[in-house]
Amino acid sequence: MDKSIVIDETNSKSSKINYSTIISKLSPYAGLVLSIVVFQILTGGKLLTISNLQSLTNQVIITALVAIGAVYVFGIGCFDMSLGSLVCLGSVVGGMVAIATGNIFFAFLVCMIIPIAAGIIKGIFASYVEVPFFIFTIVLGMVINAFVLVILGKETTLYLENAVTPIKTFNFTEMTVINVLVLGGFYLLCLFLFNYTGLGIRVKMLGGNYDAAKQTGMNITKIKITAFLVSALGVGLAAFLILIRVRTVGYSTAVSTGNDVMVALVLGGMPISGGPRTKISAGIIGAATITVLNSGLAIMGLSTGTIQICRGIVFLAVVLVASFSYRTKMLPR
Amino acid sequence: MKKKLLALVLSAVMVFSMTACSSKSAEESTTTATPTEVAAEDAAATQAPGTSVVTLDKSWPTEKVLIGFECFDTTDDQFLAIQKYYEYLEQYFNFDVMYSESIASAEDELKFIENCASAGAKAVIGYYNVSGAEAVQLCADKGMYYWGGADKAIIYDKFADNEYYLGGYDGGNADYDSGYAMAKALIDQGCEKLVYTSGGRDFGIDFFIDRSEGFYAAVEEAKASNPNIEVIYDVSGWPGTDAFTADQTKVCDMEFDGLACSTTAAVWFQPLSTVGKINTVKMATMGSVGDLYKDFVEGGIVTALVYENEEVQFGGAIPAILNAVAGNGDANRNGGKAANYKVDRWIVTSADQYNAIYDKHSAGEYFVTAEEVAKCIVNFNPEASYATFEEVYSAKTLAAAVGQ
Repeated sequence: MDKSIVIDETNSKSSKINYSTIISKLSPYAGLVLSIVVFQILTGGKLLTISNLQSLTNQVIITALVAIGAVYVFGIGCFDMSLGSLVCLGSVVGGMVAIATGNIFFAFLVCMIIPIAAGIIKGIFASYVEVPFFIFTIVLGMVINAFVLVILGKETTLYLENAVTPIKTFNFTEMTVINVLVLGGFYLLCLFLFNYTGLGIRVKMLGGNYDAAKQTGMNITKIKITAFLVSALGVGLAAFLILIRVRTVGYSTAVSTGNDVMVALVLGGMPISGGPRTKISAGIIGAATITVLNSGLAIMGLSTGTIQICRGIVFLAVVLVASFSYRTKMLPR
Repeated sequence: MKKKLLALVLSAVMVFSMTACSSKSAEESTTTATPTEVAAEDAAATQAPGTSVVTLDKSWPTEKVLIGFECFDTTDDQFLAIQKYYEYLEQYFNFDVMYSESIASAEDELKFIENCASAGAKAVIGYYNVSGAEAVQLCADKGMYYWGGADKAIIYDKFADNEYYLGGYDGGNADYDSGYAMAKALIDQGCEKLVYTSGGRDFGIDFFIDRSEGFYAAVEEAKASNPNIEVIYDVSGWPGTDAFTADQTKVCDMEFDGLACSTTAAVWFQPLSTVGKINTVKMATMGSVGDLYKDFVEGGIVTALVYENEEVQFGGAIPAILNAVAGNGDANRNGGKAANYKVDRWIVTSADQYNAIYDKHSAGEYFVTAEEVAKCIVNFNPEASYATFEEVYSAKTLAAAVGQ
């Protein structure tokens, strides 16, 4: 851990340990560990069985892929609310291609190309149009949802079983292996880009203070478009994995993904306003926490209402902990 | 900082107390003797002689069977009625039901099934199915039985021979028949100017399309003898949306005497009352027998209600699952294939019928009793077979249950 975080050197009299910052920094990890331990006990050991670990991997994958990529976009201060809709569009169009051609590779290409194209459009919009970005993405999400309805026409649901030639079905274990490989690969790619190229520091600077970042002479448009492209990779992979795992896509596909991603980022310890506290681990830690929480509460067999109340309280508690180190006095942005 | 820490501690206390209380109450419900258990013992004592191998006192199966239940809306009347019926059966048989949250997508459905497997569920009831065959396949992969979808070719045709697929009831052309029945009921009552609310038909949802086709087919048939009969307006889409509300306003200005709803008639009560037409328009609707429609049925406003009786339609899941878990799955099967016994929807057309159903349910009684359920279970009735399911469930028409 960076010592500069632990030691508050602004105190001229003596170096003083900043406990708030430590708690805030560690809270996402502590939250995940605590969730696992608590639910392992409360479910009588059912949480960490081999079978449930496979289930957890399958359940975490979509939120994690989108959230890891979204770290870049939220990191530059762009509040993107169209992520779930794009996953849906990618899956649906990919499904149509798979059904029409019977070729899963073509479907993969379509699943990737659509979010990438949308990412470029979003990047250009974020760079050149002076409109609050989240408004744009809300409208974009609505337009995408409407477009999905239009292209689906009278078919509400697409089944890969109806493909012109049979498309391989992956069983539960095979799917787990695919998920682990894809998630691991994408995480490492994002981690490398963020920490070992100049991209990460630029993302943080841009999200922290736009004017200051601009003064450094960095190419703002390039950074923004790159951030959206990385995010699009996550969206595309998520769309494809939904398609091959669920094999059933439609208007409601990934309907909760957008919200899950935002919750995951907050649970992962990243402010969704972006800036210097942006970190790649937020995507995966947050997604894992929300998945363990949902799975643990469900396995316990609690009523729906109790599950929702518990989940809400936990989220609020995490946000509270995360706010321990927030600066109450901000410099003008 | 201290305030925040205090708030955090309080949050933790709330979560723990809620989860702890839930577990406690669940335990209490299985260990405390209640009046209903006494009733169960009474019921056991009145069983038909010679058929009972074990008693109906919740002691069987010896190990509690956990069953997952997929639903699309946890606030829906029908879902709540099913939940109540299963609670009634839980007093006699040793099982517990794990209900899903409102499932919105295929991913949510598969997640729930995985969680059921992790929780130790032996079977899943597909009251709602959005992922088609994938849900059944996942259950089979996880070693769980799946009940439901026997009237969906995409499921039944693929899994009819699979040991983990239990089938269910087959409604046949239930939705077409429902639409037809609504139109016919209104026309028989003298309605000529009809309004139809078609729900998700224009969004391509199959059962709404079928209902619409049935409705219009009945109207066309009736036109042959009475050319004045016509559908003056078709309201599409979902209640609560701007488009639906705009259409409602438009319809309220029209002269009509019959309204058929493929979703729910409840959203029309207030608008029609406001324009003073609530007593001049007869309504036919899909719906449940409960408090919502009671006054309107008694007042002659809702004159036809297409009703899926929860114990007849969905009650058969319990004996089928308990048979399968006990190793007697063959008793459920129709010539070696998964069950697909016919069950009709009930078309309630009078206040007397409505009240007969309402009063029975209000008294905590059901049209398929625990004793009848036990008749379908081999451990209670060694002669139980697929024919027993037909005898108990298929034969339970509205006429047989409450009379015309």
